[in-house]
Amino acid sequence: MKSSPKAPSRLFRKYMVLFVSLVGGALLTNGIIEIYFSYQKNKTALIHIQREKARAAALSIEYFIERIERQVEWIACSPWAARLTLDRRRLEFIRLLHQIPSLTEVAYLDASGAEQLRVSRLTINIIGSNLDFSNDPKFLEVKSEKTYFGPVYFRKGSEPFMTISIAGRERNAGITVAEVNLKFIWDVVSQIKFGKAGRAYTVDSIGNVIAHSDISIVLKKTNFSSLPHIKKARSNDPEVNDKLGKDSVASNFQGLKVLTTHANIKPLGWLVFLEQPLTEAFEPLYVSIFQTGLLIIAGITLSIFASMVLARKMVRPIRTLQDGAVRIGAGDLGYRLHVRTGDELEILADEFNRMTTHLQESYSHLEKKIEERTHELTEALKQQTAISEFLELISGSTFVLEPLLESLIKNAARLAEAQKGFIFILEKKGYHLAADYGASTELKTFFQNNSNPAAQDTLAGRVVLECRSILIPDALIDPQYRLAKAQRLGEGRTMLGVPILKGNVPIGVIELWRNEVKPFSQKQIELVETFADGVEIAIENVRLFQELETRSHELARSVEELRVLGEVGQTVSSTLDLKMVLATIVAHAVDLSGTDAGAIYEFEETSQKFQLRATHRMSKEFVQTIEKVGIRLGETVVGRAGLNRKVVEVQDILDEPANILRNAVLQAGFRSLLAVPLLLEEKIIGALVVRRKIPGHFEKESVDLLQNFAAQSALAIQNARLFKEIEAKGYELEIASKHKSEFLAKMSHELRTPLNAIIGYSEMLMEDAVGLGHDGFVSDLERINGAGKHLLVLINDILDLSKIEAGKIEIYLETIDIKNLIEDVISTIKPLVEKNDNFLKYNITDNIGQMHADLIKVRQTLFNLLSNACKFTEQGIISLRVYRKSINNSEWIVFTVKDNGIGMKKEQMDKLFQAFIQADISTTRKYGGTGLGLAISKHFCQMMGGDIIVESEIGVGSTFTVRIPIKVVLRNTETPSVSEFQTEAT
Amino acid sequence: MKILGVFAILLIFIFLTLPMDAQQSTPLYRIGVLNEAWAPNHPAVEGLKSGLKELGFRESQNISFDVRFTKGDSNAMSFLAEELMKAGVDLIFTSNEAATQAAKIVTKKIPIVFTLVGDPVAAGIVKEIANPGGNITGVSGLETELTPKRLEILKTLVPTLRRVMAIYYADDPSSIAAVREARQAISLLKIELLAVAVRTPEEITIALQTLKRGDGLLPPPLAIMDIPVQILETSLSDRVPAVFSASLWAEYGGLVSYGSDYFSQGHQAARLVSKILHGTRPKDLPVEGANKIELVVNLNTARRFGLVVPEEILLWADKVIE
Repeated sequence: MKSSPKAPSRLFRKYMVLFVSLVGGALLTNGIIEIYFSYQKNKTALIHIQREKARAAALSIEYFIERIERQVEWIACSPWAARLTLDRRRLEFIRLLHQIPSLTEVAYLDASGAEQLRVSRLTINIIGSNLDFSNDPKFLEVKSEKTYFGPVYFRKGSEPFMTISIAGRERNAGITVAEVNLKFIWDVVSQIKFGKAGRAYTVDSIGNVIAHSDISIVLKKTNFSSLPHIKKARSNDPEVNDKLGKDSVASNFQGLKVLTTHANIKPLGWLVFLEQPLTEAFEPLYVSIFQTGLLIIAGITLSIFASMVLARKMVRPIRTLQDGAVRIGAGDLGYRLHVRTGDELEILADEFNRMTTHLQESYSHLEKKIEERTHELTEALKQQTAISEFLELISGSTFVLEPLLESLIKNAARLAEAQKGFIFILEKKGYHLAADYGASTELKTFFQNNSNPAAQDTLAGRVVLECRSILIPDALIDPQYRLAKAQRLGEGRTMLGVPILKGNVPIGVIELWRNEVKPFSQKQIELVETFADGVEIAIENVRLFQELETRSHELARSVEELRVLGEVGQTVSSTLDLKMVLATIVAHAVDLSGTDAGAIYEFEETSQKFQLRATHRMSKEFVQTIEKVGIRLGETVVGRAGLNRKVVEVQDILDEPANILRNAVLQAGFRSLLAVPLLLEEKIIGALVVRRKIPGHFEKESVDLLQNFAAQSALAIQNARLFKEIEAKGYELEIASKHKSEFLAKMSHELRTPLNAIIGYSEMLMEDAVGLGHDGFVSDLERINGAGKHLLVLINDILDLSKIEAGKIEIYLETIDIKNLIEDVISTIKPLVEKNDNFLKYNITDNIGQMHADLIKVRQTLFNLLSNACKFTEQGIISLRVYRKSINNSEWIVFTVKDNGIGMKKEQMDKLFQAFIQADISTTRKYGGTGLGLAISKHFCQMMGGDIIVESEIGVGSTFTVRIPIKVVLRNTETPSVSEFQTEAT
Repeated sequence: MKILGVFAILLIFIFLTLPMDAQQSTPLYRIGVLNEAWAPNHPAVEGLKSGLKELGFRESQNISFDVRFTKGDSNAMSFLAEELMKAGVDLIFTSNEAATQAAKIVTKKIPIVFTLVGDPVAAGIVKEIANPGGNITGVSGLETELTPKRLEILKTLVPTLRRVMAIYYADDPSSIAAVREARQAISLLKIELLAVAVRTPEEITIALQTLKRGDGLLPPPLAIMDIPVQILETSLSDRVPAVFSASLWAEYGGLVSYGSDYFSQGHQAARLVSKILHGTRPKDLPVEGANKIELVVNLNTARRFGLVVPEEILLWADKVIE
């Protein structure tokens, strides 16, 4: 019955729990409610009963007292007793004592309260004592027809007594007083039993216990008034007076829980309590509760059992279903559930079984389908794999066609389940069997020998004709197939032919043969067609590759040629040794053209002969011969080339007319040669010849190459010539310059001497004239002086310039105090400034300090600029500024000379610093000056590492800015060459 | 399986909670008895046994008695008391002051229940009636306070009585107290009292020899030295009227007795014994006064003495012996 050990029996437990809790709950609730109500009911009932009993007890006690009262009453009140003599009375009293054991004493008081008789059980009888009790309550309180019950008092502190006094009814009747020992009530009280342990006790009006089943309590003079239930009972509180208020569960004197009820003994003011221990009182209740409890437990236990059974019963079929479902879910579709409960579960199980059956069917159906599909897919995968392998092959680096095709046809045949396969490539002369698979040598030979059958007879032919795949189901019986021998040799029955198409043009056929009659499936045909495409691709690939190879080779060759040409070019332009250059050229030309020897000639204009300049691989004898012979225009190959200014090719020298040269060539071992003219602007300047030992054609590439070399050679020759020229010219120039300088130096001295005389004498004469008062001469002499000075300046300038040109100027560096320099310059220039009514202002930066430069040159420069400014400005302002400037971490002193003179045009500015040029001719005439100043100044500045620049606007003025390093550093002392100077000047 | 286990547990639980009567082993209570009797069957003891029987104590079932009696030998009392104490009794039951005193001296732990003690407070046996204190309680025979009444009865019976001789053991406090009480009544009764304290039997004889005509005899409540016996003998032989404290004597021939019955005292004391055996402490049990006080008249003796029993006495008497 146990289910799988792993699966928790939740359902079972659920049911069980549910059932148990239901039943148990019901029982329990029922039981509890029952118990509760029963408790209440029982309690009430018990209390009622007990209360009745209490009343009964009270009654019996009351009766006890009453009996005593009655008997005393007779003696006290009866008419007969009223007339008793004292003595008689005494006897009656003794009789009374005898009758009532509890009576201890009887006394008789007369009407005034004096005691007349006392008869006692314990003490001596006293007669006529006349003790006055008139103020005693037992006398006072007693009323006619109403017994006086005195309060309980204790004798010897132990025994409770009560006084009963009864008055006689007759006039002047006395009072009979009886002392009752209440301990004798014990006899009554001890008889009052309630249940096993229920006891009664009596409490007087102040709470003293006057009767108790345990007499010792009485004799101890115990007071119960502190006990709450006693208090309650004694209270007159209306709230407490309700039905059960006073009677209830309480703790008794000994602390035991009891059920207590009470009753009044009204006339005495006593309370009789009946107490039963709670356990006893409620025993039946407890028993009942216990029984109920037992019942409940029994009920629950039973319900547990029942629920177990029931749950089991309910769960089993569900379990069966569950197990069944698990098994079916696990795949056991043959399993059937068996549930015979005759209810919905059975129906469910049947449905389950139906479902399982359906599942089984559909599974098997599915399985079949899957099988089929898997088979298809496997097939497709095989094919795809084959195709991918095959594509790999194609894209592999096999560029040899035959093995590739063989591999292809093998794969195709295998995949298509054909025993034999053939690839035919259509060529002009027929079908070429490019590759085969499974074919015998005989069959191969057959195909090779019968490569061009009639198209209709063969499968391949038909395929090509119809340009589509053709299937022959059985070649043996096929009416169109005529290659019987082939068929026999190859044992082909079912055949498939697939065209290899390039674009839409068939270039070949793939044929697959089967040994048996078994048609090729559509898939297989498609596969082969794919292969056909592959073949086409393969062929194409191979072709492309081969082409690529060829091209690469050609490229390589071209590259090499270019490289060599480059080299040659470099050589040509790097050296001026013509011989070496030509030798290089010819060597390369020969090598590259693949010829055996070569030579370069230069055409001499003078001799009109081609002179051998360079050779390569030519024997000495051969060279000598050529040199000896000499080649003229038109003679020999070279001469022809030179005459016609075109390439001459001789494929076989034997074809040439015999001459010395030709023989020499022949002798040297050469058969073919090629001559290329060297042209410079259509003029022949030489020739390049290459020779081969074998006769033959010179390829175009070689010819082109050689022409290139020829051009290079021409260039080389030209360069050499030019260079010679230049050299010569340069040399001449140098000579000229040297002459010039010498001349200048000489001349200047020659010039200066007389000039100085003129200046000096004119000055002298001027002084004399002034002294002598010949003013008329002064102006003329001034003019002479002026002219002489001017001439001197000019000569100096020319000298300077020539010195500069000759590079003979030197720089002397010294520390210059700039301020001093400026002041010096200004004072010197003053007359010139005033001459044209100009105003000179100058601004020198404070602390301009010093500079380290060539003082004279700086001064000269400044002076030049200022004098120019003065010259070209009339009534204007000339301002000189000197400041320091930092440019790119170097310190410069900047002098600016600004004027608002005539200014310059741009063209004038450009030419400004050129020697001998003023702005223009007219300027020179008007303003004087040699036109050398600026050129010299600029040169001086540049020599010091600085420069002069100009800004000017015509009609506004000009600003010249001189920039000199604060610390001039001499550059290396090479004199600037002519070319340098020229570039500077621009 | 689980369920069966639960069920088993449940059953066990039920069994355990069912109220089972504890089969208690019945403890055997041993009561030591000490008195001056001549025989073990002192009426008080008999009364005790009877009372205990009624309360569920059966001899040799749950209770046993170890009785020691002195046969009037006052010296033996303390010795016997000690014996009882050593015997390890659960309770000592005594009759008369002597035995009670002896027992009191010997033990403060073993509960002592006395009977036939006239005035326990005066005798110094208990502190007070309602709260005895200590380990002693019992039933008081009220002998002491009844003494005047006894004299009254004697006087009523023998109107010609002029003098009463009270012979008592000199060292007995209750006897001394009784004599004192008696003295208070003599004026009312119009009789003389001659109290003779004796210590030896010889003195008793001497005292008795001094009796005159018209004397009465008042024996002490205690039987020490057999004073009551001697008095009885003398009373009978010399026709001296005597009033006894117990009906016992009247049955033996004494003229009249007024007092509490020994048997009923023992019977009454059984209640106390029972309570003590059940665990109540003696000091929580007040001393009870004897409930039954009897007047017994021996008519034979009265006739022999030539007395006419007055109506009063007959009316009063609880019992007459003929």
